[in-house]
This record gives sequence, C-alpha cells and structure tokens, in this order.
Amino acid sequence: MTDFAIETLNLTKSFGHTHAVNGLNLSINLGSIFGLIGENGAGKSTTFGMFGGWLKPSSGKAKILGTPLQNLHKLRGKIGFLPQDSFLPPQERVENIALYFCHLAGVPKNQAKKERNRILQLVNLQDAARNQVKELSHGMYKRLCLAQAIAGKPQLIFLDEPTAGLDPTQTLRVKAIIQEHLQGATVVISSHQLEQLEKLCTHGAIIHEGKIVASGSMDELTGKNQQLKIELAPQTSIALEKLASHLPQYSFSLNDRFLECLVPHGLSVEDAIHATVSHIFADGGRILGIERGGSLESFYLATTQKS
Amino acid sequence: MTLLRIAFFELRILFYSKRGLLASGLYALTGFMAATGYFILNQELDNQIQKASEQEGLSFSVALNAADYARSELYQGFMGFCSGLPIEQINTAIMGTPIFAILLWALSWILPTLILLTTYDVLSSPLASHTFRFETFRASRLEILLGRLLAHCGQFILGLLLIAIIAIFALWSEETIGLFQGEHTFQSFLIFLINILTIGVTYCALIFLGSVLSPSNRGALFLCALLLTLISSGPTVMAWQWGEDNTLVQLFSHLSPTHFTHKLWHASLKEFGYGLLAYGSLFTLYLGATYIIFSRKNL
Repeated sequence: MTDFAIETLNLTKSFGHTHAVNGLNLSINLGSIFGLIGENGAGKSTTFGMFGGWLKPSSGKAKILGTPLQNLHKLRGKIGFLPQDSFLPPQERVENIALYFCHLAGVPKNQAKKERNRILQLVNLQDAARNQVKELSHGMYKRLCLAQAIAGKPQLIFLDEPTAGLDPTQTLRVKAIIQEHLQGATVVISSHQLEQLEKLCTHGAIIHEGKIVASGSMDELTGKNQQLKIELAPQTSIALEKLASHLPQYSFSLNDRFLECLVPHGLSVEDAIHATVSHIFADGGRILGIERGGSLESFYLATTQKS
Repeated sequence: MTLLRIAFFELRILFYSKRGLLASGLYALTGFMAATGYFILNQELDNQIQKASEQEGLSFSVALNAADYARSELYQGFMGFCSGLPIEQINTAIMGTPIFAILLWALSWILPTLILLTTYDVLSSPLASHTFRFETFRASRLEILLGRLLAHCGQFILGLLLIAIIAIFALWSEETIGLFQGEHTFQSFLIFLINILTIGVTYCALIFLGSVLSPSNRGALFLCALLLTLISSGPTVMAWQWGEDNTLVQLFSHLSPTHFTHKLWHASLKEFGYGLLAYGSLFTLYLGATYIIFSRKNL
C-alpha cells in the first residue's frame, strides 16, 4: 500500500505545440490537505483535468490511490471532484442530481437517499432540494457541485477553485466543510486565494509554466521553520557582529527595526527564538513582536519570479 | 449497473426537457399521420366499390369482388413501391397486415429525422458545457457513451409505443380495427418491431457520430443533417453521376442503412438475416467510430 494519494512522473499535457503541463513530478501524501498554487494558465486546471479523467495525458505516468490514471474508473466512489466551469443539467432537480451522483459513487441502493440527504444538509441545500438547477443562485450551484464531490465519502477529493465567486459567509462554510467534515480524506485544492490556502492546507506545491517549482509542507513553503522576524522596540540597538559571533549557527540581517534570522535546516526554530531573544534581553534591548516565516504570498511571488 | 444508472438519468432529463416534449409531440403526430393515411387509403378503396356498383350497375357482391381486385392491385403496387421488392418476395406477414406495412414504410423515412431532432446534441451539448467532467472519474467513457445511447434508444422506443397507441386508437375510432385480427397480425407486429428497432438504433449510432464530431450544438445539428443526407441520398446521386457499377459508389452505398431496407421486408429468412447483419454491422461501425473519437477527446 502506497503512502501517496497521488504520484506523478513526468506527466505532460500538450495542446498542439503548447505544453500546458510539462513534466510534472508530484507526490501528495495520504490524508493531507494539499494546495496546488499557480497563476492563471500555470497548468492547475489541466493537471486536475488529467486526474479527473477528462484530459488524456500526452506522456508521463500518474497513479491515483495506487491505480494508474488510465484505470481511473476502477476507483469509482473513492474519488470526488469539483470541476471548474462545468454545468449540471439545468432542468433537473437538486435532489435527483444529488441522488444520481450518490448512485454513481457506488453508494448502495438502500443507503443512497440517506447519503443524498447528508450531503445536501452538509452544504445547506436541504431546503432547495426540490428546486431545479437553473433556479439556484451561483453560490447554491457551487455548493451543489461540492455536494456531488463529497457523495459517498470519497478517500480523495479534488476541489478546483471551491470558493471562487462565493461571498465571505459561504466561503467560510466551504472552509468549515473541508476542515471539519472531510477529515481522513486527502483533499487537493486549486485556488488563487493564497491566504486562504495558507490557513487551510497542510501541504502545497507551486506550479509555474506547467512545472512544479516548489513543494512541501505549508510550514516549509512559508518558511515558518526557517525564518524569524523580530520587531525591536524603538530605543533598542543591535550590534549585528556581536550577535553573529554569539550565535554563529544562524544568519542575521537588520532591516530598519526588524531583525531577520535565517534558521538552517535541521535546527529548531524554537531554539533560535529562545537564543536570539535571550541575547537581545541580555543586552538590555526590548522587542515588540515575533513573526515566524513569511506569507505564502511572498514565498509564491519570490519563487515564481525567480523561476 | 453504472451504465443503466446513466441511461435512466439521461432518459429522465430527455423527458423533462422542452425538446423531450417536442419529440413526444412529433412521435404522436407521426402516429396520427400514419393512421390518417391508412384511413384515407381505405376510404379511397370504399369509394371505388361505390363507383363500380353505381356506374356499371353491378350487384353488390360483383362490385365488391371488382373492388377487392382493385384494392389488391393498388395495394400490391404500393407494397412493391415501399419495399423495393417484387411482390412475391415480400414477407407474407407484412403483406397481410397493411397498417404495419404503412407504419413501417412511413417510419423508415420519418424516423431518421425524428432521431436527428431529438439526438443531435447528445454528445455536443455535454462536451460544450463540460458536463461529462462530473462522470469521468466515476464511469468509463464506454459506459458514459452506451448509457446515453440506451437512453436515446429508450426515448425512441417509447416514442414508437406512443405512435402505436395513437394509431390503434385512431383506427379504433374509425372501426377499422378489425384489420388487426388477421392470422399474421402477431408475426407482422414482431417483424415491424424488429425492423423499426434495427433501423432506429442504427440511425441513433449515426447521429451519435455526427454529435461527437462537433464542439457546438449548431455545428452538431449541421453535421448530423449533412451525414444523414449524404448517407441517404449520396449513393443515388453518385450512381447517377458515375454509374451503379462504380466501385466508390458501391462502397458508399453499402455504408448507407437505406441500402439494406428492402432486405428487412424480404420473405426469405436468409435475406432477412442478412438485412439484420448489415444493420448490425453499420451500427457497430458508426458506434465504434464514435467511441474511438469520444475516448480520445478532451472532455
């Protein structure tokens, strides 16, 4: 049994001469909430399309839950998908659509209606169950799409831009569903909303021009274990050379009133905080705050500009 | 099982849509037209009895015999025209039950258009709206395709039932239902069903092929209509231009379902079997081509 929900090796998808995804190598751990981050046209939706079976890879290999991509339908019920820009039959009723996808997900006949009620309740659509799809608002439609993705409690769920176009309340609801109700499942989310991904995901990867340019845990991506930013009180002055000679294992730089510290791999960030702050206090200095790492946004910008 | 789920879901959608209602209306209209046509034919023959007895001063029994003869000649000519076969080669069961013969002939012309109108966007519409993306990770593409084919075949089978019911009621109201009580009625009905199902399913597969080739609904309608026209009239036009013995004409005419229609009317079981085999082969060819294109398409 593999530890990975998804493994890809040089996965490529070309449209004519354009490589939308170019030699993608990606491993996603089972049970993680994984964010696939990238700008428009970076290859996120194309990657999702190949995982969802509606795009055929041009070359390369991929395994989903240990099964090769070409046998995707054998994983019936183990995968859920919220595709972007896809339309459900407008004249069909919400309850019928939800029931249909429960059936397709392999939910036994005698439990299908119960499962349908569960997923509709989860996305707060139980009162709109008898409505036709064309009568739903954008937010309700999006929640119906989310409901079909989680029908049958799949082990692996792909959510392509799950909160796009939703108001803040609905966005919070979707986040709560992911955090509270999809526990145990591997969730792969594609989104532009970096702040949201940073809070929601345990792991992530940055895709740029069809290639993965960075991947790891969210702490690694945001540098929470490698960077410290200490805001010094106005009257505090720091002798950088003295600090560097006292704590040679770390790299320091001073930027106005902010002391920045880089913690090499293998060293504890807690130890770095303790040692640095102790040194400042011993020298009679005062601090106003400590910030671990940078934001995902700054890391994303730095990484994509570099590559 | 997945295939049946898809088929039932699609069938529901077909019947709840405006187009589904339109299709039902068209099928119903066909039933009325066939019944009316049959009724007019009978009225015409009755008038001939009346005329014969009035003009020639014949006794009723003599006039009836003369009219029966006229009826027989007219009917045989009509059947020969419909089937494209010499009268002695037409299946006696079909000959013995005029209503099924007329329905079969009318439907073999109307059905392709009905199927075109109800089915042209079967694949182009979900391709354009990316609806297949909700299914591709839960079902194989073959299941998705066959599920839709089953649904559309189901729609036209239900349409046929509607036609049959309306035709029977229309005839009943004119008290001509007695014509159904012939010795060949059941056999004829069975042949009618087999024939019309064979033709319908084959045309369904052809329209599926047209639908998968186009990325838009309008394009699909145009392509399907073009395919139907080419397949139906192409061989005739080509034969007129290059002669019937031309190899290309021969090859092309064998791709057309209309080329084999007469075999389904044949009295010989062997010829009837060849007809079914030919339609089966065409169905497989059209559906196979559709599947190959569909399985390689980005959905």
